Amino acid sequence: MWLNMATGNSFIFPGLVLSGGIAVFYVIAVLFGAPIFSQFYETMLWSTLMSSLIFIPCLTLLQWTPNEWTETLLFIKSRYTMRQFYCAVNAIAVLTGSWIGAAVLLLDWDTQWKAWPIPCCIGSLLGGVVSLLIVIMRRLFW
Amino acid sequence: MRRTVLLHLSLITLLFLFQALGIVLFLKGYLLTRVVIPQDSPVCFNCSPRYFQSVVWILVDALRHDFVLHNSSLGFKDDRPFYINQMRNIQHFLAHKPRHTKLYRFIADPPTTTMQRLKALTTGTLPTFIDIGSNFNSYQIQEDNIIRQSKRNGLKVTFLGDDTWMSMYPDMFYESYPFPSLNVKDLDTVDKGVYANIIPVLKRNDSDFIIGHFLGVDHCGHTYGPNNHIMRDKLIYIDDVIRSIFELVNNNTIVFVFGDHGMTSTGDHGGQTLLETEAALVVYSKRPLFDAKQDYGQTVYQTDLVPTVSLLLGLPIPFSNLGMIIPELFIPVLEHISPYQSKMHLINSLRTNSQQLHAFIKAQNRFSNDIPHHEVLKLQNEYSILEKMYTSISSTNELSDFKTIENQYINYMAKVREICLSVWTKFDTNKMNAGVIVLILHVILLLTILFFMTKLSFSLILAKVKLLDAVSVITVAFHSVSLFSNSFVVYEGKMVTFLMQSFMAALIVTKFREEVLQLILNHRNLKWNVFIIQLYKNVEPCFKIMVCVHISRYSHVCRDQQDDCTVLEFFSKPDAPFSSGNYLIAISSILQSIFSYLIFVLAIVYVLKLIKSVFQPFVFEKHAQKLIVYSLVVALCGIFSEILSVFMYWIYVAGVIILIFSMVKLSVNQYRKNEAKKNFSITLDSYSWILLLIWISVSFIVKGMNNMLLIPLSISLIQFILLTQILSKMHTISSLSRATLCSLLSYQFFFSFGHQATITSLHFDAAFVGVYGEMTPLKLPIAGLFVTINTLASQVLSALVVPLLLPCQTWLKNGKVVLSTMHQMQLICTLLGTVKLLCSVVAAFALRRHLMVWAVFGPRFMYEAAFQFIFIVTTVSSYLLVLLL
Repeated sequence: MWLNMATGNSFIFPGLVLSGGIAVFYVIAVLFGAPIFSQFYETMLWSTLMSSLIFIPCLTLLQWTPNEWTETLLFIKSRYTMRQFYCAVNAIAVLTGSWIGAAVLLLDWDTQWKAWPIPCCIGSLLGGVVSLLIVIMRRLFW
Repeated sequence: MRRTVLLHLSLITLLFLFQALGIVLFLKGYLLTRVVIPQDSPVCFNCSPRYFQSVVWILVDALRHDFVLHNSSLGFKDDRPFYINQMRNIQHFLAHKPRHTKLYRFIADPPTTTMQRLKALTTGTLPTFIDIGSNFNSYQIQEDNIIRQSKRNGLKVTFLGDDTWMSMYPDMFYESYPFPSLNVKDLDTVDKGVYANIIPVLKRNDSDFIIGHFLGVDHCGHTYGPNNHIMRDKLIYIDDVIRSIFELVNNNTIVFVFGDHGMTSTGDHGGQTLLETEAALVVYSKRPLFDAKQDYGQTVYQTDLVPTVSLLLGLPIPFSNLGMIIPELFIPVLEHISPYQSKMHLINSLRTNSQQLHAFIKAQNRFSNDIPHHEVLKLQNEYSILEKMYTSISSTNELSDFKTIENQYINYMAKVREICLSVWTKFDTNKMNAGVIVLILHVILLLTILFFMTKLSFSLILAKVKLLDAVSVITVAFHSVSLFSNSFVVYEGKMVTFLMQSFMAALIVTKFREEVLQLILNHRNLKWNVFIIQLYKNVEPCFKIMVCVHISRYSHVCRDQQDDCTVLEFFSKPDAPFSSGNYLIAISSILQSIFSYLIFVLAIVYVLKLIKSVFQPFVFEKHAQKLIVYSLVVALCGIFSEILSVFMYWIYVAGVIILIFSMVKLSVNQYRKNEAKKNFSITLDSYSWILLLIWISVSFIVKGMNNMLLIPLSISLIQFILLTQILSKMHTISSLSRATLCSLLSYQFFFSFGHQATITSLHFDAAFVGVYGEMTPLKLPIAGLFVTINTLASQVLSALVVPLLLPCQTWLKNGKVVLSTMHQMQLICTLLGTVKLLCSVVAAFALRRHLMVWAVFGPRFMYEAAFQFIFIVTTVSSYLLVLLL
């Protein structure tokens, strides 16, 4: 039941989404200030992490239709199921975490871990954790 | 309608004046000032013996300590930096004649600008930051100085070099050979002129005090940076000059070779980093001067030169001097003089110096309350103890007693210097507090006004928090708070582009969301292919802007505190002019300028196309072609600017005048036709045309001498019009987001046009646009204007874009909505600016004891104040322009 097989081949669509996501996030990283080629592996690492953190929950929890995806991720729906809520909150929290992590990159602290993309990765992972907490809270108190 | 306009204008003016009051109050407390005492040291005959018949000053502008110091680890390897171990003659003298030559670290007090340094080197004082603005407009020195003392005591002073000396010391010189100095691209005129004239002067041997000021090293640093083969040639040339002077002088002459400041790794100066403050001082005489047994260290302050030279020439020390003599030079190293006698010489000289300092402190105490009273009493006590010790010393013959009193004198003088240094870096906290409070009140006032305004006419906007508003608020808050952190201020260029990209990403999401909402309302089920097409259609224009933002990053320049910074070679200043004879470099620089002008023309063509698509009835259709032809002509002239620079300039001025004239004619015709209904689309259409013309006029000043800056300029124009295209169609975006966008744009292009928020990175080369030959006083106001425009161009252009970013469609419907939207937008822009200004003011205030206050926070605050001023003035004039059109 976790995977909705109705829309066809269960490998092609996730593969397309994940690799497309990696490409998009690579472009985003470059636009936001990452070097284009000189730190290819680092940038690739970050974009892979972002793509999987955001799209794997969507691929597993949502129906594979454009309506469902856009309505969930763009907060158009008025009523959310638990799964949809988690996907949307997760995406926002991961993006925000990574955004905040980027602020650390400019500081002049003399530490080893203050290098692209470590703070961004940590930020996005923390964002993922926060989104899980939010979902648990909603489950308990709503 | 007229009443609301007048009301709004008076409101804006009042707010502006209130803000200006806050800034002026703060500046009065913040900019350090010093009371100048107009008093000269009395003429005294035989008050000290004359050690040397004549003194020669060789002032090599920007001679850094490590240019002279022999670097044994790098040796003469081919890959060493171009400025290391080039002055081999001086290094030879230092190594082989240690009794005649010595190298000191010559510490300059900030600000390290040439004018301030010259003042310090002749008066022995600590010029404060407030003099910094007068560098282009030098004036006569009022305080007592060594040159005036020389003249009063009948010594003949001969001057050769930089002509700023002539305005600082008019009618003081027995002979003078001034040369024009303001053209930083001219490396040789001053140096060759000084060299050609100094040799005969030295041979004639009729002057007592000779000053030669060589400018080439400084100009080379400004134009090419220190690590350049031109710098190597320059240093070798200076080295040869110095050798020939050393060989020519007689036994009764002492030569001081020194730099007035250093230079950063990019060749600039003005701040207080070690590279800027550590200059070199070489002392040389044919008479033996130094004794290996007597070591007084290798560091000397620049203020110490004045008392040293005064006493060596037997002159009274200038009244306001704060320096201390260089002790070694007052110990005669001669066989027939006993150690007691030579020590006595030194102690007498130290005593003369202390007497002068004592008199100065007493006078200072009378004139102002700068120095706290208890400190003055303490110093006076100490001085009387010293005097007692001095009278008792004649009875003893103990060398150790001599040593003690010598150290006492040195300690006393160091203490005086220290106290004065701490006093003249003291702030007036009351005025600063008042300024901050006024600015806080200003913010509160603006918020209340806006609250009532939005309540009355735009209550819907605040009803629901939207993504773009949230991002705007976060962006502004983050930018403001970041002004408190030196690393964020240092990397502000990167940060602003990052924030801009974040804003654009949020804009994409908002736009896409709107479209999808429409789509879902129309047909329930989306297909994947429809979805992808929709996505592409919405992302594409925003993506273009994001690419523009990305490209604009490449033209950033480095500043001092950025350790890992590399400049893209492609955007940096051309390596060598035609005259250097290196044809490969010359050809590549021509190719560079052809490329940049090509981009310039293409940008104009593209933007005209865009404007046509945004404003459907495009009035200036015919003129568009004229403009393109005209821009081609300008570009062709620009490419050959090496030969035609003056022509180009005048062709371009004529072109702008013709275009404006024809435009006015056209809009008058248009107005007659549509007199009944005023169409705001046409208004904006002609406004965009004006923006284009202003952009072209400004572009030549913004690019300065670096053609490659045309690329970020073209990017700026394209980005402005792309944003117009997107935002004019979106009604749902609030004024807050639009205002945030404007402020981000202004910062983005400030850095993109090759600026940084430091004093040293001002583009002085913009002063030479359209100017041929040397800089004359007549051309100075224009030069100042050009440098100002160059610095603030990004603010001016972004403020001019404000009307174009408003929702254009609503303009057609209702004149009242138009006005209120514009008013609201203007107030929000002012609010955002004031919040940033307040933050930078508080940062400069709170961190005034921070290590980097003059390197980071002080300049940042001054730039912010200038930004605010020009931004408000330009928004108001653009508002008036829209109303008039």
